[in-house]
Amino acid sequence: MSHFRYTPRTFLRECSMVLIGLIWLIPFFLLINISLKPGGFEVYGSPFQLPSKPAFGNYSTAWQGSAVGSLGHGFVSSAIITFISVFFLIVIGSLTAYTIIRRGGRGSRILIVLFTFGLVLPVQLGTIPLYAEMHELGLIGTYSGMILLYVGLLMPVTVFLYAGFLRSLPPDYEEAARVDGASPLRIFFRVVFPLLRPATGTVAILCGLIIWNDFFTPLIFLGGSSHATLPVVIYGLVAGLGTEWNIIFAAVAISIAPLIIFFIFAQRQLIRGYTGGIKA
Amino acid sequence: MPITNWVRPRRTLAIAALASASLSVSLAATDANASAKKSKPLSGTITVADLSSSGNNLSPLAAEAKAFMKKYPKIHVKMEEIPDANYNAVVKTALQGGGGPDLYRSSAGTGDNAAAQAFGRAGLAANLASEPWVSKIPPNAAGYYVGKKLYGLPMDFTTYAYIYNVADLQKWGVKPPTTLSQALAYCAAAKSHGGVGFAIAGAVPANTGVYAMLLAQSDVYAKQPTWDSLRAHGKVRFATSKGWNQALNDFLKMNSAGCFEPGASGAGFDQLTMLLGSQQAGAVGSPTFSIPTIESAAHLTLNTFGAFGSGGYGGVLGNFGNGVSLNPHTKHPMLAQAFLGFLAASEGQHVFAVSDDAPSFNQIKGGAIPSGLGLSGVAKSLKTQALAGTISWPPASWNQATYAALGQGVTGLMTGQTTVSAVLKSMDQAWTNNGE
Amino acid sequence: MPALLDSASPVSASGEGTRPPSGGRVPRLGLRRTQGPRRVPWLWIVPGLLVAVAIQFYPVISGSYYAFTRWSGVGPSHWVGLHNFSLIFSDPQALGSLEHTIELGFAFVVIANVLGLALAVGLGRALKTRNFIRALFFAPVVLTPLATSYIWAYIFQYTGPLNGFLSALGLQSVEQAWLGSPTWALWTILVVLVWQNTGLSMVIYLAGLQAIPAELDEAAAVDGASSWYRFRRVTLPMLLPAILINLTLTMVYALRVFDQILALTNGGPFGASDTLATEVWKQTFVNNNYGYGAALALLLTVLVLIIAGAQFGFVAWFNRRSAR
Repeated sequence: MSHFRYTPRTFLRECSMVLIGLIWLIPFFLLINISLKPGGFEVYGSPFQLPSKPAFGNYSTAWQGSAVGSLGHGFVSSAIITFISVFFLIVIGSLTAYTIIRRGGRGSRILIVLFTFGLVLPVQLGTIPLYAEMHELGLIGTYSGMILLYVGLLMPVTVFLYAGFLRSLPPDYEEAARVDGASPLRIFFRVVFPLLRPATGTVAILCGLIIWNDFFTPLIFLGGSSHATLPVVIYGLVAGLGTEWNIIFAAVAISIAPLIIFFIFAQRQLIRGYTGGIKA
Repeated sequence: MPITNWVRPRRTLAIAALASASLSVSLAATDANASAKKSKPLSGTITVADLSSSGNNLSPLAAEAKAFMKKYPKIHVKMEEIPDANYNAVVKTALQGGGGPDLYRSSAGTGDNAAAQAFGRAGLAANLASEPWVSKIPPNAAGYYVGKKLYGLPMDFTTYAYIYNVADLQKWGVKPPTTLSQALAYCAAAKSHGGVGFAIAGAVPANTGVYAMLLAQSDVYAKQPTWDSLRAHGKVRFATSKGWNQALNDFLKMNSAGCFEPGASGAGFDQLTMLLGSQQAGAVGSPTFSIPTIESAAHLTLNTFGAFGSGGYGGVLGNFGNGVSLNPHTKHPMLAQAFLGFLAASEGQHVFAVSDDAPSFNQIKGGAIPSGLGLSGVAKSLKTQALAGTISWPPASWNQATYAALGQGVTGLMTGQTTVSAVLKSMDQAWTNNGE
Repeated sequence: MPALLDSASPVSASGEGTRPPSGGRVPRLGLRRTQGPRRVPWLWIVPGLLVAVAIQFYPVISGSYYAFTRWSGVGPSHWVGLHNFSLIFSDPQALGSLEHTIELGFAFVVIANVLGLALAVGLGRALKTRNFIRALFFAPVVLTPLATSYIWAYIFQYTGPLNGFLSALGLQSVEQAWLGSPTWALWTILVVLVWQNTGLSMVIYLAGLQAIPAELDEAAAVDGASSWYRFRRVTLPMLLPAILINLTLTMVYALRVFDQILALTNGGPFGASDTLATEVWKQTFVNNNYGYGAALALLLTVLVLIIAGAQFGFVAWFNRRSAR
């Protein structure tokens, strides 16, 4: 096509985009560079100068963290909470969305509006009575309390995503199964759920990311317990390490490394998840 | 931010911030009689909560636990270490729920983490007034008493003063200031040599608060050590107090005289360490226990000078920052009391002192502070005030919001965002508004 | 005019359900009338509904109640009516936080969208490094906001790289204590938000641009239209779905920003970078003023609902209009 000619102007555009991209990369460069600087005053030296001798030991120091809240603990906590929450969100959310869409009618419309509400509601207002409530139930600082929290908080998003997908899912296969005499439950798990795979992928990735990176809720509900998630652990580490940028950056680098790896593999799915709404 | 948030974490690494180990108190008690009284060897497990330490150092109570377990192998001490930002909430919640650790690190007064007076009144700390070691507790431990009830065993003593670089002051040809005008002259001398008089962490209310308190020590507390109790009875207010207005105006004078480093309003603790360590800043207002660490890390000789202000020389501030309290619902009272006894005895005191590089209160009173601690500049004030019982750290008995209002207000004064009267008014408001 | 926001989209802002394409062999209408135990039971929504109500909706109502009380978090609360709100509107700190919330919100929405669109347009089809650069800009979106904020805290230090760079350019006079400046502290947050999230706007605009048939643009070019004219009259209108999605996403996100502020400035200096979200945190969980904190949170919720509601309403109106 004529438009895809690689003109000199295109080359100029490419160069400027690369330049902007490199500027965007600067924080990453600083992160790795400073994290490898040895202790002492070199940390306060020129930020762009490479370290005299890369101090890989900073990474093991950062990994050990402090007596409570090592990065390892943070990873484990985050993983447990994220995976189990996502599991329940998928199972319960898909069932809920399916029921709402397939039953249709007025009740269904009301429920959709309700869940849409939940999408934008800021979490702060409900946190206050929630904290008091969960404190009374003894759920503060526990995995189950946190999982319950996330399943509740992200249910609207999950239902919304599944509902959107389900609306355009033709009910043919379900009808066929019903004609064959299958029970609704069977129909759902054998027929519908496998068809929901794209949506399930999107839900898992989007909700998983939200939960993994969340800071405010775990700060309040898990702060100080041995079950603190990764962001809370980082916050505590930085508070205790105020001056040692090299260790702080090593800790930050360790914590975002899995996300970078995840990004490399899941980029396409991520983009699909966020941009599914753009159709001409 | 909790009041002495930055004070607790300990650092082992080369450049330590101005917040590491705390001073200990030697109660000069003889070996714990409690252990001799037991008829059969105690055994079991107790839980002890302490603030978490960063780096490879053990928290003080963890060090104590290790020594204790060596002596009493049948008793297992399980440590629960909690980051400072959450310590108060976590311990309080656990105790309120009827559970919680058997023993926990507490602080004096009402305003700080696990404040002994507050916890004691709320029934979350046991009365220790009839323990055998009680007679050895120094008089300045008022922050642990409510009337005749003792709600904690005070373990360490923290001094607040100005840490200074001996070489810098010599180079600039100045002596440690004792009045505001001397301080301003010191700042001018520093500036003329390309340095800066004082490094302040404007972004950290805890540090700006210390500067304000040191000025208040000169302008308010040196003349009226009981100002806080007058305030508690509503007889005086921050906004109408001549001394407090004086103190904050002194700060403004220091600020406009260029006493602080450029970019001070956004500086964090790392700036303080960097400036002091690189010999650019002559002095820092802070708790003094990190002096040995900074000295060895940055190869400096440090000393301390006391509070100056319009009111003249004010001496020092200090308090029994940390102690240990007993859970009134502990399931292992005998074991917990054995540990307390160990802490109060010379052996426990020794462990604390060794791990914390600090003089004991008796050394302070006797004027025999060991030389490696950089306290020779204020040793005399420490002794005088210790004997007179006038060393205090007022924010320990304030509520958190009041000290936060002070700290943040000082930052606002630095940037010109607020005025002295507005800050004092907000302190009064915080004092009365917050029920905690 | 294409229908705004296909209802099958995961991030569609339209709340109404629309009829699915009727490609089925069996007429749905007939089956809908079927009664009996073979229908999907309403019972199935109970777990999802229950947990959403218990964790999200009921606490919001409960929190709204506490906004009218004085409460320290333990023990009983005391009704004080509108007192908390009069406190908010007479307290310069609280009003400042409201102002900052709105300022930050609008600034972020504008910059993220303009920059995102510019980057998307810049990354035209012909570029060789397209996928690589797209990944570069998009990567920060998945990172933990709190963690990456610390990198920026380092950059904005008085003795940090930004000031260092300025003085290398000979611009010493421009150097600031960025994080400690009453004027600039809030905008450092903006920089971090833009760096981390523009990639998302860009990606959405890229998808939108891709959906525009190239023929339209080429036809206009052949007709002699300038590229700017083509952009304004052809591209932009067809990007409306993407624009609206982005506006919603960015606005709702910016109003609730918390992690970055806590890492960079903690609301300082003296509240210069405080927003409603951080004020709620401070008042509730640091100062134990649960009632006052709830009032602030209620204010934030109302603000978000108004703005989100306006956006949804616009989308619904637009959909109805284009369906005619």
